[in-house]
Formats: sequence, C-alpha cells, structure tokens
Amino acid sequence: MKTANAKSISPREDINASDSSYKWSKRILVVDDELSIAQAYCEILSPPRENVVPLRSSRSKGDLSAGSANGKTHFLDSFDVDQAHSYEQALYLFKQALHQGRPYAMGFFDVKLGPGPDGIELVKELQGLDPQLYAVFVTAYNDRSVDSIGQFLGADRVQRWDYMNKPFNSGEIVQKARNFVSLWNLERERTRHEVEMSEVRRKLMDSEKLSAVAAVARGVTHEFGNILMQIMGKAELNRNKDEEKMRQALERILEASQRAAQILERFKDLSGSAAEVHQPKIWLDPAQVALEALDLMEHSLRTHNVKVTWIKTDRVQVKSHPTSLLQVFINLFINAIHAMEGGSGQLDLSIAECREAVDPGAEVVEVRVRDYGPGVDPSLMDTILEPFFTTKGAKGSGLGLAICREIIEIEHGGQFLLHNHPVKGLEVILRIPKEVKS
Amino acid sequence: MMDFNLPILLVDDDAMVREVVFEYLKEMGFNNILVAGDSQKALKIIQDKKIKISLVLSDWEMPKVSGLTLLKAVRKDPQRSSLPFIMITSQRSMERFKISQAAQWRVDAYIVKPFGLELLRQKICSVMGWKSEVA
Repeated sequence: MKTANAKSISPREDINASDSSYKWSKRILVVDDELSIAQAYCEILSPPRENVVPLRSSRSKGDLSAGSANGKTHFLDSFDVDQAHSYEQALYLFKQALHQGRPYAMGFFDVKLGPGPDGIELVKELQGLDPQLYAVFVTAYNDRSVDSIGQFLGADRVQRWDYMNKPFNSGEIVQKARNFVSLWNLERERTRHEVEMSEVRRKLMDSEKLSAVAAVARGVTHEFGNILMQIMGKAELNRNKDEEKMRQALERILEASQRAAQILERFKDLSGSAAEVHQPKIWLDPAQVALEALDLMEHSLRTHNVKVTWIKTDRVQVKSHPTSLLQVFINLFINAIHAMEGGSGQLDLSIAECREAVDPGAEVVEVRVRDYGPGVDPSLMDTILEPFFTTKGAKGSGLGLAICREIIEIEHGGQFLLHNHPVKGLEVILRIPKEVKS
Repeated sequence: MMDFNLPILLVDDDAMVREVVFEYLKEMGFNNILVAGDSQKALKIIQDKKIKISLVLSDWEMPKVSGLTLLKAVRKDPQRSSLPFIMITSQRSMERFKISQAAQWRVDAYIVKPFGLELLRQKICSVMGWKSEVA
C-alpha cells in the first residue's frame, strides 16, 4: 500500500504508439481529508495480494477483463492506489503523475476537503489538466446536489463523473473503480489503435504512390532502352567511319539524347516525394495535369492500343498538389487500361467547369474519365472503393481507387463518384471545388 | 558454317531501334535482312514459303501483338517449330518473368536493350551454332 508521503514509483510503461501491445494502467487517486477513510479506500482497492479473492462471477469475468489487445487477462480486483489528504497534495500528485507519463485513470473525491476549494473544484482543476480523468464524488453531506455539480463542471463533462453517498460499501467502490478503469483503458487503447492505423494508412499511401511511379517507370525503361540502343549503336557503328558518316551519327545521337532528356523532364515531376502533402497547394490546371499523366502513360496506352478522346477541355484552375492530382490521373488511366486488357480500347476524358447541383452558388471542376471496358459488377460498386479491394488478383494492391478517393475527398474537399456508363464501360467522376478552404 | 546469305527477320515497332539493329546485322555481314514493324507482318514473312526465314530477332513489347505471341505462333506451326528465335526486351525488372515465359515456348536467346554489336554477334552465333570468333 502506498501513501502520498512514502510513494514508490514502480517502473511501468505508459502508452507508446510504437509499442505493439498496450499495457493497462490501474492508477487511482483517492482524495479524502480524513486519513482513516482514505486508508479504507486503499484496503478495498489495493488489498494485500494473498487476500485477493477473485470477485468476478463467470459472467463479469468476460466483461471486466475485456479490452486486452494481447489476449492476456487484466485482473481488475487490485489497483494502484495513491492517496492525498488535501487539495494541494492531490494537485501535486496529479501533476507529478502527468509529468511522469503515468496518468491516473480515475479518482475518488471527497466533496468536503476542509477549508479552501472543495473536491468538485479540485476535479474541475484536474480535468482541466487531463480531460480523460474519470471522477467519482463521495460525500456524506447533501451540500451540493447532482445538478449543481453538473452545472459547475459543465455539460461536456457529464460522462466523466459519477456520484456516491457515504457510507459506501466496498462492493460499490470496487465496481466503480472497475468500470471507470476499464473505460479509461479502452479509450486509451482505441486512441492508440487510431494513431497506429493512420500511420499504417499513410505508409500504404506512400507505397501505392511508389507503385504508380513503378508503373510509369516500366514504360520509361522501355523508351530509354530504345534511346540507348540508338546512341550505342550509332556510336559503335560509326566510330571508324569517315567524317561525314560520323557527323550524321553524332546528329542522331544528339537527337536521341534530347528525346531522353524530355522523358526525364516529365518523369521528374512524378518522383516528387509524397511529403509534398505538407506543402502549400498551388494553382493548377487539371487539363494540364491530365496531359502530363497521358504523356507519362504514353507507352502503356500505346502498347494496349488505347485511344484517348477529349470530350471537353475547360481550362480552369484548382488549388492542389501537383503530384497528388497527377497520381489520381495515372491511377485512373492504369485502371482503365487494365479494364480493357486484351484488345484495343478507348478512353474518354472530359474536364468541365460547372455549378454544384446541390449548392448552385458553388462552382466545381468536374473531371470525367471513362473507359470502354466491361464496367463493374453493380454488387461490387460500393466495395470497389474500399482499401484492399481488388479485382486484379495479385496484380493489384486494392489501394488505387481508395487512394484516388482519399486524394479527391480529403485533400481537395471534393467528391469521388463512379458508375457504369449506360452504354459501356466505367465512368469515374471527380468534382473538385474551385475554391478549396484548407 | 557461317552463312550470311541466309534470310533473317528483324521485328521491332520502333523505327530507330530497327534501324540500328539492322545496321548491326549488316556490319556483321548479313546481306539478306528483312524487317517488320509489327508481329502480323512478321508472321506473314515467316510463313512465306519462298523466303524461308532462318532466324528471327523480335522485340518483346509491341502494340497489338507482342513478341511472345509471335513466338507462340511460330512454335505452334509444325513446319517452323524449331526456327531460331531471339527475343529483344528492355524491361529488366520483368526479366525473370519474361525469361520463364519465353522458355516455355523455347526462345533460343534473349537480349536486353540497349546492347552492342558484340553481344548481338555472340547471341546469333550461339543460336545458329556458329563459332563466334570468326566474324
């Protein structure tokens, strides 16, 4: 049993996002100006080990020990309890715990704390420091009604406190401790998972960006192979020839080098790192970006005999990151090419300025990319946008469309829609607001 | 026994590559070189009984019909199933996959772009069973 004066800090890990398993914290702060009462809490909540009698029934066992990420059972019959006997002492312990990264999950607070601020004011102060704290007020006096506590702490805190009357029984105390400690830990665990998930998602997006780069790179390697063929061949075949032959060969080598430089120039834009999301957006013409994507995909489009037709080309400006939008176009073109694999195909492109149907005051840029493939099974229409969904087997990561949607909806505040064209093929519609508020 | 009068066929959709490889072959001494810009034309030439092509050098990646499809067509033709066939490719990353696929259809050699005269000479000589040092 620990008291505020003789406190031993046991080494314990706090939440750490890089840690693979979450360790439950069972820290409770007991605040009562009467030492004997504070002592009683400790004996109930932190009995000597040999005296621990499992309190769980077969039903409650599952409930109360739930929330374990690693499959281990958390025994909630014994807690790590610290006690404080005044407002100041409680504040000191609480700040110390926060500072050490070992916050309290919950506290039991006597309402009357002698002269000075009462337990309710204390909780307001503590929750100001750490809004996650759960508080249980314990009082023998009806000096503050439940309503007045609620009013004092504010409506947003209503989930964070509870109320108990003295004299309390041990079962009640343990029950409250279990509930709030469980709740607190489950919240922390969930937050941690969310942090991890967003990290994983970011990494996947980066790797998907890389795989689109790889798709383009394959086309570029082909072109480079051909160009180098010309450079090597002309040099080798003509190095011992007469001056005129050599001059002609050098002309061809120069031409080939210039062709290579042009390809490199196009490729440079795409290899811009995924980190540019953190850079400010710039004004871009989507048609220009689409042209750039077509340029990069030229080899693939040509080898698959895909003919590109511009239906409409409004020259407009939207705020965007150059690589993001390029990424979207490339992914959509790759999908279209895959959808029409095996034969020749057609790709219709349209970029038009229009009024938002729902809000006629808002102007949007509408981009339509349509292929003439088999379209998508209507039953799969919703799932196709979900991450990891792929119809391409091992060839697809199932992230292409999900990332396009993410880029359009999250990065640009736009809309990402797709439907089967009434005649043939799949049509993807992107609606990007003309003015994007960050 | 080297015979540079044998008719050989070069298939590539890229005119500039075709030109360079053509000059390589000429430099080697071949004087009966036919060229085709796509697989369909190539197949017509291969199947022409009067020409009797004795070696095919074909690019892998071509629009419409790829070099592999051309190879398959040649191998399925009982009269030309053992026609020497060299595959020209550029995508190093796809190399292994391609080799394994081409091996199924008995590609005699493959060569990765860009390549020089000497490498081409070696490949041709080995495919034709010629001694390469005599050139």
